[in-house]
Amino acid sequence: MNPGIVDWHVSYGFSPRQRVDASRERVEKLLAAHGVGIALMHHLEGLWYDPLSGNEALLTAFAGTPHVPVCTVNPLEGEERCRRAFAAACDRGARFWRLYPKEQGWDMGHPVAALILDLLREGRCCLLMDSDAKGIQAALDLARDEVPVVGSLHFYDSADWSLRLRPYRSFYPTTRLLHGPGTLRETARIFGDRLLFASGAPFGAVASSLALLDEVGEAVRERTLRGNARELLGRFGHGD
Amino acid sequence: MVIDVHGHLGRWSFPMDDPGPEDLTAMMDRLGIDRCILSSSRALRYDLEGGNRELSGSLRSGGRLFGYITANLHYPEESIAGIGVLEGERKDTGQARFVGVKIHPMIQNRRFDTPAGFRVARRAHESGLPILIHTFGSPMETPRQVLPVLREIPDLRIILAHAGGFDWHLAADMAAAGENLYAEICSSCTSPDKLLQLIEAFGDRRVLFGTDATLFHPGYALGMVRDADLPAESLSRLMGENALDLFRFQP
Repeated sequence: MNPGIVDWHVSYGFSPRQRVDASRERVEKLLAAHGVGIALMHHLEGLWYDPLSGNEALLTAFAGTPHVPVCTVNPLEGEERCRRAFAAACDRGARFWRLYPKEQGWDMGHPVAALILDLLREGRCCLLMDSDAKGIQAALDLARDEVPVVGSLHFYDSADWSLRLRPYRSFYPTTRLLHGPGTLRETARIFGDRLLFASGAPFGAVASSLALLDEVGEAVRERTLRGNARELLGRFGHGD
Repeated sequence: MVIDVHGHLGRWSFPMDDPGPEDLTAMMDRLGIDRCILSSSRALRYDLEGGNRELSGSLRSGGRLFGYITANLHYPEESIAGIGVLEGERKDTGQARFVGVKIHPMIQNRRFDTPAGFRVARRAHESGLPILIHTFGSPMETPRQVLPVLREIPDLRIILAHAGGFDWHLAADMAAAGENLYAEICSSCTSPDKLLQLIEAFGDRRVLFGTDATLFHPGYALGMVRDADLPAESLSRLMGENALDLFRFQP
């Protein structure tokens, strides 16, 4: 069993919009310094340039490592390219996907987004997506609450999302933006068995997200850092 | 000595804890923060005079919590009068309760590079008080709005709160604008690269540690510092020495 922390939001590659060293070596060093043993890793090439080549590079780079590659498609590229990128990654075993509506400038009303959600549901995949609460709700609705959706939502909007997303059993919030005093504790109370640890490294500090966990007791901390994640990963064949 | 130069007391419109002064000092104890300089959220968001007065009461005793006098650029007369009254207030230890002036263009919907901003800046300068100004990437929050004021009053000490937030390059690009311009590091963006690049641009004597407590959990900014893995000398300047000099605190 990998005893490490599971981090649900880690990037690597080249960062074109902020000068950040997102090289694989640097990112793995940051993770290792804090005992992160499993990272849900996405490639910035897929986000900013080419999902197909980004996914291929990602799947090759992390094959045989404890980290979990998170592939992507971009609805703005249209139905055919999305289908092709999805099929290519699925053929190599990809089950975890990330969408970037905010960064790429589209929303869940985009017709290709609906198609992607169908593909994810039919392929029994897991979706990671940072969006506002309405965007995550739309993804959950499109997937009929059958695709687990892991999302980092800002505590500024927690009045909205904590109520809006509570009924969805497939919604998994992360700790990444719960830095208002008491907001992680409250999220753990509401979504306890689904709260997942995420840092956003290297765009966020792993130590920052870890610091927030001093609001909860040891049992919740352990569940958030490892237990809830292992349960979800296990559903997709990333078990111990 | 760890000094948090960016804190608040008062209420925020989010479903979160509302830490009071005792809660804040307990958090500081837990995290190893010795002093915190605060502004009143009531003064920032609503009632300038009432908020500053309320904060003054919370600063009366002890040697750990200090204040910024909030200015509201829609009310320059009142802001200037507030500086006149509050700058002389002392703690029961004899130290000044207020050690700077706070300006928040976004919350108050008015930029600093306006006639009102210049007036408040001149008054702060007259009293030797540094100004902490909220900055992010939008036109209302841009760090660049301090440049006209700095050109007129080059020895006014100005701290760019959040250092532009996610757009820290905006702050870093201005580092050469004057030796009295400082960057403060906290925001929802905790990339260690932000801190490293600010130190690269400003040098390690003009970057300051802040947390945004009690709006943010103070451990969030501490985590950013930890992951930046700074050399010991730079770390001790960031965490306290620079603030000791800037605010003319006794160690």
